[in-house]
Amino acid sequence: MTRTSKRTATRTAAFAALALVGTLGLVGSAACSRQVRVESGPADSTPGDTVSGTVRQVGNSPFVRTVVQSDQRSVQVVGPEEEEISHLVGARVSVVGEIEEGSEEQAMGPRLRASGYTIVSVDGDRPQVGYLRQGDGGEFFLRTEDGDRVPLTTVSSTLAEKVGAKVWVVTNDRGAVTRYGILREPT
Amino acid sequence: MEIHDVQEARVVEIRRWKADVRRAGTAIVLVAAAGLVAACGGDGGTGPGGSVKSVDLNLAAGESRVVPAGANVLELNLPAASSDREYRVAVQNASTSDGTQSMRLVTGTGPGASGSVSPALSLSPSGAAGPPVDLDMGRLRRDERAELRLRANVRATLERYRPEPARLGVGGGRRASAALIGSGASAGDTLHINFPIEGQSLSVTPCDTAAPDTIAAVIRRVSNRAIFAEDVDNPDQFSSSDYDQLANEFDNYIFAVDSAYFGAPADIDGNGHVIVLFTKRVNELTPANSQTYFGGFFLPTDLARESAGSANGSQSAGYCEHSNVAELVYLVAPDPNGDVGPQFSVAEAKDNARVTSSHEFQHLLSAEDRVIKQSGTFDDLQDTWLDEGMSHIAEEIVGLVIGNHGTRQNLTFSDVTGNGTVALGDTTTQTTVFNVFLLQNFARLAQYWMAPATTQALALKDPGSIASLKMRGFAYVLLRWLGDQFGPAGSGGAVPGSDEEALFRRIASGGSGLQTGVDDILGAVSEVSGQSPSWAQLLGDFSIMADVDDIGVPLARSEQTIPTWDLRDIYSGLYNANWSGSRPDAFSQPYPLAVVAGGFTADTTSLDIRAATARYFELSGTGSVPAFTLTLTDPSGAALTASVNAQVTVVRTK
Repeated sequence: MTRTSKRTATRTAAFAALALVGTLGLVGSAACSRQVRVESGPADSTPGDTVSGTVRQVGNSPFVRTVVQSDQRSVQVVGPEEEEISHLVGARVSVVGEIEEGSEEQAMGPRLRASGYTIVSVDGDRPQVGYLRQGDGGEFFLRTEDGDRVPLTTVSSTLAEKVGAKVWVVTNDRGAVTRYGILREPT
Repeated sequence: MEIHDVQEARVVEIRRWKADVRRAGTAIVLVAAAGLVAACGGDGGTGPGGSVKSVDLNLAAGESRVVPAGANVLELNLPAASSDREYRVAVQNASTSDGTQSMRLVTGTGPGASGSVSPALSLSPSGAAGPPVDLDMGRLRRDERAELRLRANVRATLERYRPEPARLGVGGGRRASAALIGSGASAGDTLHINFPIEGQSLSVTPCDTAAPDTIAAVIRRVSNRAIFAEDVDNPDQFSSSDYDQLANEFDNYIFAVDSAYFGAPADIDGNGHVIVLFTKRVNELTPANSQTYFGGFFLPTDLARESAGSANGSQSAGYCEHSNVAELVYLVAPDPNGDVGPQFSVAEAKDNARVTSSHEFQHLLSAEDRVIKQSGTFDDLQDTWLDEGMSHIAEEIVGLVIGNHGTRQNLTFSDVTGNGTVALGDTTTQTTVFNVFLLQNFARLAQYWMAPATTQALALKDPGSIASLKMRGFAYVLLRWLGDQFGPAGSGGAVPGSDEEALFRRIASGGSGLQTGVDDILGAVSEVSGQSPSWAQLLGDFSIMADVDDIGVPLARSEQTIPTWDLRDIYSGLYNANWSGSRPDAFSQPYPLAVVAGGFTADTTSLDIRAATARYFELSGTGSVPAFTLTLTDPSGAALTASVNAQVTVVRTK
């Protein structure tokens, strides 16, 4: 089998898998939501497709596309969640949404209209996602979308300027932020 | 404005560090001392913050060491000396995932610490400047703004829908078919070209929808390699002599060099030409009252087959109804009165065409190689940051060739400026070529180096932001360094100096695995050079190159140099040049790299370093200098995590 035909076969299989996921989602959204914890966007997202893989930015400016690429397939992410996902280049994510009908056959490939996503890992680390806040005493903490308050004992001066931003952080066992990224700037 | 802000931030950063030096107290020394006690001369010790990796660096002048931190507190021990010592240090985040790593660098000595603080090298002229050269500030200003042009409102969503496409032109054609742009095309023919971009949002019509608009364009010149066409609605035109120059440059330099460096075009329309379209639609993408402009683009969907059932070579990718099925680049049209957008004199539009066609043609060639020649999909296109860097290399290489220069010549400012003649054989001067093709790369590189660790190097989101400039500066200089270090030697094929085009061709194509991004770089380096460095190893030399190349110290590792350019001399020349107005902010220092300078004294500083970038430090002292330790920890003083890929490069420069 040539490489081209392998790719075609892989893509066909991928679409079949996507269709299956979509069908399962239609049958029972609860099963879908158990598989993917939505940390951004509506937690009770509509039934749909789930794509997991690594975030890439593809193509020349200004026609840049954000895609999630797995070993089997690559899917462009569109919709309001795309902005945040585009800040996760290199990270592994799981995105839930709806594959736009007919997009699989088009030049740019399938488009997933994302309704939520989870950051699976950044270089193997599982980050926490939420809004950076500062208490009355000057202490920093992360307010997750579940409402949890995660104390952050050490925050760099650069990150400290981003209070109000939606961020992902990796902390050490002392609660110090060792790694972070900005998903949405403070409003 | 934003450029100015960056520079202010940089100054603040240096001042803050110096203030920290003064504030550094006993606690810092104690931390460093604790580390010293914990383990010296080997891995695996355990300190208060976790395991300690302690490395003794007994370096001769010019020698260096790259030390990965791993999952440790990293201690680097510099020996005491009875004479002057100077070290250049780059602390790096070698991750390939976008994000910022927070760390802490503690420097300290034992009891009796002494030393002196040297001036910040980044603030000192790096070499004697040549005679002042007149440079075109207007040109620079305008292109800087061009990079700032898109900002928040520009998003390529590829998803908007307009149900009622307008139809222009004759014959009812809504696309520039191969028949219309066939091998028999000649001056005076009219083309009908799909234009699927909507207004200033730059949204592209979905591929299951016909183009909402069509451009009628008259062919003005057919050269050996290009078909130059003008939108019939353009407010102004190029002259016949303008086309003489554009055709000569495209055929003999842009096409020749880009094809050699990035692969020959696939010729999907079978006409043996690239269509260079000057259209007011590009001008209209910029608001009429804006000081910025949009110079041109390549639209990847023009390579797609136009319907699900049509064939386009061996392409296996999907279809796009508004594809023009042609090698086509779109460029800004002359508009001296600003009738449809910002004012563009004919000369300005022509200069824009020279450099922008070099840039966009690279995008086209790389995309064609992957999607058409290798039967990939549009998801096999290059990662954005690397694709843009490759196009900036295209600008540089074309400029070098037209300027009668080559690679690996350690070119100085006086080499590439002045009134000397160039390969074109007309009145074009070296300074003109520098202004058109080379200056912007140095401006973008300066933006990156002025605040390197804050650079989002491996991603681009807001094409018009200062972040975009910095990313482009990073990608350009990384690729230039890769070409110099891993491109084959030789007398030169397309460009004198080396046969480096083999490396760039491999990166553009992605190889048989259609690799992208960092994987593509590593694959290309391995295939072309026979060496197999890791990404971290590449960064170890590349990062420190910025600070040690051409500083007058023989370096043990030639990998820490960039042989094509004497960048210290280039920036010194730009600093001292006569500008046709105030000096651009990017060149407000004789050398733009932000280096924190200090002596062999106790200190601590917090580091926030984005993926693939570095923070730079200089340690220097005169007379007798003490044994000294640099300790790198996470921000709480604990061991770093291995997943971060933190590492430090140290070069002894005195």
